[in-house]
Amino acid sequence: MFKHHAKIETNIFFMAVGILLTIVVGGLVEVIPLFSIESTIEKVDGVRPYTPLELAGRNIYIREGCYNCHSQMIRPFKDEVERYGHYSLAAESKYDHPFQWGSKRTGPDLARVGGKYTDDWQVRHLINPRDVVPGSIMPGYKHLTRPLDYADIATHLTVNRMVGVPYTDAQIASAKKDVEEQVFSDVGSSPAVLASYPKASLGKASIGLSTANPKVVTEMDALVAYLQVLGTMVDFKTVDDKLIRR
Amino acid sequence: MLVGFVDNVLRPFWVLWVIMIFIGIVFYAYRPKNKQRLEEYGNIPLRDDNEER
Amino acid sequence: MSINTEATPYCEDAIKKFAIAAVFWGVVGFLAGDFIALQLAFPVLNLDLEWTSFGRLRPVHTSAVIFAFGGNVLLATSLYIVQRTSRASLFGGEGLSTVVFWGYQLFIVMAALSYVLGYSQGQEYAEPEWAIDLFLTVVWVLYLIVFAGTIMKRKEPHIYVANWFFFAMILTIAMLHLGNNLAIPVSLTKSYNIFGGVQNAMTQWWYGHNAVGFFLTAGFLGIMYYFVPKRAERPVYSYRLSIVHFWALIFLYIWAGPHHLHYTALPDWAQTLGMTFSIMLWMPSWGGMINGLMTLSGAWDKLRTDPVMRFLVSSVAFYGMSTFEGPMMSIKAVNSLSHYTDWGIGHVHSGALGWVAFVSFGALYDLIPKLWGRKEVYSLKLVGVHFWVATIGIVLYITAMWISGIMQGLMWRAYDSLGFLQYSFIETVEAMHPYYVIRALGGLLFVVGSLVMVYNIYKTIKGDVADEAYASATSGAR
Repeated sequence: MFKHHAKIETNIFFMAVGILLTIVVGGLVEVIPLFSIESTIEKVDGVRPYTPLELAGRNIYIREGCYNCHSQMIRPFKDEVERYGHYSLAAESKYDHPFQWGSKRTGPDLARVGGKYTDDWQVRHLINPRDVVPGSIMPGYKHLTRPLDYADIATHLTVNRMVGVPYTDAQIASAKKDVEEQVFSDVGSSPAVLASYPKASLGKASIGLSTANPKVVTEMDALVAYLQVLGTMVDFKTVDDKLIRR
Repeated sequence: MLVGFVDNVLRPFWVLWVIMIFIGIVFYAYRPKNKQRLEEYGNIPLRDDNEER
Repeated sequence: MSINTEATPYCEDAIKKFAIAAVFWGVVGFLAGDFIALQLAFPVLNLDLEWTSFGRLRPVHTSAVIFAFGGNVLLATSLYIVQRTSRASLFGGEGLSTVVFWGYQLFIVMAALSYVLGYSQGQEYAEPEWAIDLFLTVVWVLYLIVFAGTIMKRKEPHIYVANWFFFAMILTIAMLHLGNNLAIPVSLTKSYNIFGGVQNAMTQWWYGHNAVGFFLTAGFLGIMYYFVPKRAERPVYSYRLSIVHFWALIFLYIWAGPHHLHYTALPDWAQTLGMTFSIMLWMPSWGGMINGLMTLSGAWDKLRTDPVMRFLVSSVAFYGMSTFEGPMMSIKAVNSLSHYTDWGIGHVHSGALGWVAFVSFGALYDLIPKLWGRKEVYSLKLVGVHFWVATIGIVLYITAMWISGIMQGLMWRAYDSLGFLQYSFIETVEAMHPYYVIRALGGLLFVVGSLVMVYNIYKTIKGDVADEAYASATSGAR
């Protein structure tokens, strides 16, 4: 093969083949087994697709570039587990298209922020972070009080199903209704959306805001619903340690 | 089939493949026979048709 | 080959445009970077407007410096070098290369606007949505055709090594771009990646790290392998080493991506592979550095007399430093401290400012006078000013980030005497403030340096010659 190097260096086609062979190996060996090795994604219960409202909120999280400063990946170190909670499992982000593990913690990790703060705290923090955390350097997000556009939310669920998220026909059919039901159901009630998506956070997060119309679903409602479910799906009290040991 | 090939052939022996290819290229480049020819190529940027010589 | 061949009529219209665009986008990208650096020091600068928040502007900065500044530099230099080392004019002539130029600029503008307006795929360095991705693919294939076509019609039998690096960059970026952006659209402005969770993490950092490896390293090594010998007026130190450098670099780089995912939910075997290859990568990187630096052996005085050479040589030195720091940070024990902190930002910028930008400045200062038929830049003295101002800026930047990064990492894991975590997260944020101010100051110096370059290049193109250059020319010195 190496006697032919002279050909590679004088023929652009041979060089292209040589380069492609060289660069393709690493990718194949690292990426393909992730799909075929059974243990890549832990078998734990509880991880479900996002509710339509959470999915819309997640898209706002992506739109605003939150991942530039917040990770969603707790590493298995003592200090991280104490600060943020149980270390993250691959299973917990298996329905995330795209993943949002992040690479920088200018702000804290958000992998288990769900349930740590009240809806009201989240809303006030997002409007002006320094109202509740004086030293914060996070931007304010006043514009999230505007109405959420969820006219095509069912299409979002359909496309998610195409990329592997197991939404049912019924869930897709009721997507729009589920958005409204999740926002306008009282905390503690048990609407149909909760049966379809356990642990979803009910209620209108932005209810206390004078700038937001209480009758419509706002972007703030969606984003807070997403933040409130983060890291709460798996009940680690019931997980067999041997299944998730790394 | 591709998955099988990667799992059974490429991955277990990757160290071997890397070393073999690397030695091959070093052998080619540093063979005394090739020295003069290869080093001469270093002059390519220095002979430019459109610059004063 | 005989030297006395007829002169080849090179196509240089588009190259001139790429060179000017590189300077323009460089200033835009550096300014954007310094602005978002100031936002981290003074959050009021987010202006509480949706279009100006850090989260939307950071991709504008990264895309502007990587794809707009770096990309235009690569396009300008690769098309310049491929003609001169092939002794052939561009395939497709002025027409096709001009199409590539305008197509590429349109891609940049569309991408930047889309981030500001809130359209993003949410994957670092791959933020443009699917429609813009497809458009870039078309432009990139045209670039491949121009580049490979020129090599095919060359008069020089051997393909010069700089072109190997450019060619590997073009092919690999095409593969990475297509592989990482596989997505199903919902609408014109929104899509979902076909990979999710851990698989998406792997494809993203396979892409992300090799955007560094092939766009910002292989491509710019192509620049080094042409402009350092050219400016030193002697062939590269060892052409044989450059062959080993090339194959070892492109083989090893592609594996290194998982070092961005140490201790995450990515399986351990993949992390170990990533770490192993990242450490091995140190060898070809330093082989390349030695090859670049030693090209000057016997001509070290040029470092003193020629500020353009100073840019080129310093860039290679910074390359050596970053490619030592990188493998070190990929060791899992080190990474457990450095990951998620400003140390990573500092590392990226010692590579981006010290290596990529400096080798670009050196190349532009050499290339622009030649393109416009000038003997030399307007003022070499101002090149020297640019060099020192930018160097001080880099030093401030990376030392501030080293300190803040290591401090952050240590504060996060600090325990008090009672066994509780010593610092709340917000205390670690507040402790960063002075370093964020120093970093922004370093960035500002880098911007100022680039404005000196703009002035110098403007005067060069206009055809002016500064007094001091005129004096040395008439006294017979170069």
